[in-house]
Amino acid sequence: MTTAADDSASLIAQAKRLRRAVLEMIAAVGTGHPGSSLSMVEILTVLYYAVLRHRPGEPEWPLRDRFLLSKGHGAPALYATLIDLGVLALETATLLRQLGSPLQGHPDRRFTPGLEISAGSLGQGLSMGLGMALAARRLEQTWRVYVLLGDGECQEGQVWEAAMAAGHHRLHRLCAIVDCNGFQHDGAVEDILDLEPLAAKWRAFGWRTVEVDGHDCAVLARTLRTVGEGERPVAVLARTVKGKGVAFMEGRSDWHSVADADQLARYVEELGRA
Amino acid sequence: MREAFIDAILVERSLDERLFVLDADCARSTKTCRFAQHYPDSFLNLGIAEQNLVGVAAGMALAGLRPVACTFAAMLVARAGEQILQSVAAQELPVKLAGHYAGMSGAREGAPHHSVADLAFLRAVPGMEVWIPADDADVRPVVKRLMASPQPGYVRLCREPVAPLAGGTHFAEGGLRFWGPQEPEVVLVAAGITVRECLAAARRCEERGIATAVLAILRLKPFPESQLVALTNGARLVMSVEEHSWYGGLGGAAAEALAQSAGPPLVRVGLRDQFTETGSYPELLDAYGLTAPHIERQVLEHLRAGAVSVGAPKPVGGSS
Repeated sequence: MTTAADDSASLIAQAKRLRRAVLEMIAAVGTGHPGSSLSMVEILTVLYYAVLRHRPGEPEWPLRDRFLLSKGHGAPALYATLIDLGVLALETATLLRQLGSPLQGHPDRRFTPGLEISAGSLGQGLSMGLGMALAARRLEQTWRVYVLLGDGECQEGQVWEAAMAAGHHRLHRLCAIVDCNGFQHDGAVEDILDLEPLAAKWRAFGWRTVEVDGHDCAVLARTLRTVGEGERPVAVLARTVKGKGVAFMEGRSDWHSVADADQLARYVEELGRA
Repeated sequence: MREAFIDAILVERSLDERLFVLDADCARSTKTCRFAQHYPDSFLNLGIAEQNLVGVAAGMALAGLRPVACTFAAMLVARAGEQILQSVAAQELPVKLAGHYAGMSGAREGAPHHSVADLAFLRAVPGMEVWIPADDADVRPVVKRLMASPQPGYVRLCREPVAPLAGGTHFAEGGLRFWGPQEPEVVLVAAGITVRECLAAARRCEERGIATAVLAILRLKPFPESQLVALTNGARLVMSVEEHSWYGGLGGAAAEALAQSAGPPLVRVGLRDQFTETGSYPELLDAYGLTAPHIERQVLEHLRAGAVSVGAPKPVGGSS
């Protein structure tokens, strides 16, 4: 049995490995969404290595907790996690966005094991998570459902249709994690279509809402483990930094996509030499 | 067809406890409220939120249930079109969609409640099966096939009961129903309420000595292309009649099939790129040229013209 401190230290180390794998994956092909992938690294690390009840060797295990990536453009981070877990073969890591690859531009269940949903058109994941949570209730199962959304994604109306229904039906094993990195495709969320006060919105829709540092593994783990307690669905607003961990990407909407493939390639090469 | 549909779904639920019915605040209209009385654990009203309705259905299917999403066809298909495409079809999920008040059968509710473009969209959704019962008696076998399929599927339902039509031979896995002489001069291709009207029109044509067959398309997709070609081969005229835009629906499917054959000319009858209006259902069918007398007149005119022009029937009725 590891202590909480050990747990946290190993998660931090794992997040560091994952962050590097994401950068290598995108740099190898010069296309993808680095900023949006890097902001969610700790969230994925904590979920897959400390929270979810799952069996990497048996991705379809019926009693597993479900993780749904609704902000599908964060796919590289999820792919890197699935590769690390052995769900996807290591050789696929260089095949992001290539024809016939399991690493499709946005997650696609037809090509890739270990994905709970296909995603890419924003705003659709929470409804599917809601459907899974309702199915669990109908089937008298206790698995939990975690859905990761982007903050910009919360501009989609369907998100609030689903949020309203989940709150109404008190689906306490459903968790919406919002990767609040503050940026969307065209710029800062607050400039394009401000979402604040976002926590108040989720609370108003009947969710137990918690705001956390989305890069603090210990806090994330503690928070995400509480899903299923109480009577209400849980919204975790993870305050994150877009492009976290790479100085020239942090807080820059132009690195939502690859702004400069050569710069990224040089950076990853330097990481390799370090 | 509403009650017939619920009867059929109740039977399916008795055979499969994974079946789950979802509605979007139309339960008293779609009659899913009757299903809910029988199976409260297998029903949920998700409120006026069609996008979420379809997304929830997708999630349920991913978790092993057999969801049936029910609401007005107009809102189900158009409002949640992207969810049907991305959440359901792109994931190849066996979600079933029941489009109620389809065509103009929501008559007096007016144009926003009429669904006259649903078929054009759904035909273009990869893997989507599309069923259109011709009468209440067709509903049970159609629902049985709909539910048995591993594909996503849509059933287009008329608000009004449609009394069972006499005769007709079912074939092509229940996807076709055929009435008529072996070597018809005219073949009327119909779906839904226009089957009834075409049968009446065919009788009137027969009285005039014109051998007229009616081919009801119960399964619009996959479309029975080869059967259509075979059954219309040798006829002088094929006329499709649909309660839908004349773009992309039944007439479109028939045109695509016949374009690859050297068969007879096709005339498409449907809504002429126009929005509909309020009225009683019989009034609307008449106003937009979909009743037996209109169909008969179109047949006579096109036969008289001899060389049948493909594509555009003369304007009929309506406010155009």
